[in-house]
Amino acid sequence: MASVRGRSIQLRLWLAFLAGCTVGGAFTGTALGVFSGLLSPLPLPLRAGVLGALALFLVVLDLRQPVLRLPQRSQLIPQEVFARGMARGGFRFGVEYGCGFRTLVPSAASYVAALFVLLAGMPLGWAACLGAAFGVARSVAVLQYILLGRPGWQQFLSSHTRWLERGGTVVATALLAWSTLLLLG
Amino acid sequence: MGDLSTTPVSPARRWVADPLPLLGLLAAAGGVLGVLHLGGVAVPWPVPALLAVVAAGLALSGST
Repeated sequence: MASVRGRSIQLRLWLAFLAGCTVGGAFTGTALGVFSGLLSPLPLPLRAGVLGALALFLVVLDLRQPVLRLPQRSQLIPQEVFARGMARGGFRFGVEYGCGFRTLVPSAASYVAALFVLLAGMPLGWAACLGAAFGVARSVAVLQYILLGRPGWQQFLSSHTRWLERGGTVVATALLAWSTLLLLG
Repeated sequence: MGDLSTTPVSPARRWVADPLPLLGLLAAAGGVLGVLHLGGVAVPWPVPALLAVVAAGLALSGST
């Protein structure tokens, strides 16, 4: 268990990490939102159909594969990001972690979310907001560890991480399907 | 972030610090909203979309 002093330092580092994750996620959301403009000439029902088909494919893939094999960067974020201090390092680590494509992506949920931002044709501000929310969510487990974690936290999480990845894919896809139906009016 | 200590920790204490129950709560919140929507409550499209991206972020917690 972390001491009070240790937890205080961890929380400050987490705040830098949270800021980085939020910025990283917002960056990805904004980039996807900009690219979605290229698809805007296509009618929304057509884009929704493509989104539905791709999302279904990704869900089935995630549920069937023992380890998800989709295009991704197969390297961890290098420790060198902390070379210029813990706070700056925490922020930079967060940016890379929160953007969703600079490290391992073991769940199809983020691919489905990215496709939604790309194909749903939403205002750019909402694309950035959804990306930022994704980044914030990526930092939550670290906060849980700091506030509530006990020795062996990582090992316990590792024992059911595939359930988490697959469950996240199913939940995210169901909610995005609902959101798409609302957009279609 | 793991360590090598062997101090016994109860399963309940483990789950409180785990992202999987959070994902379950989020799914339940989405289900409640869905039922309300079916009952006539207006739900704007960003609400389920925001819940979904949070679920997607939580789903990647295993790679922390």
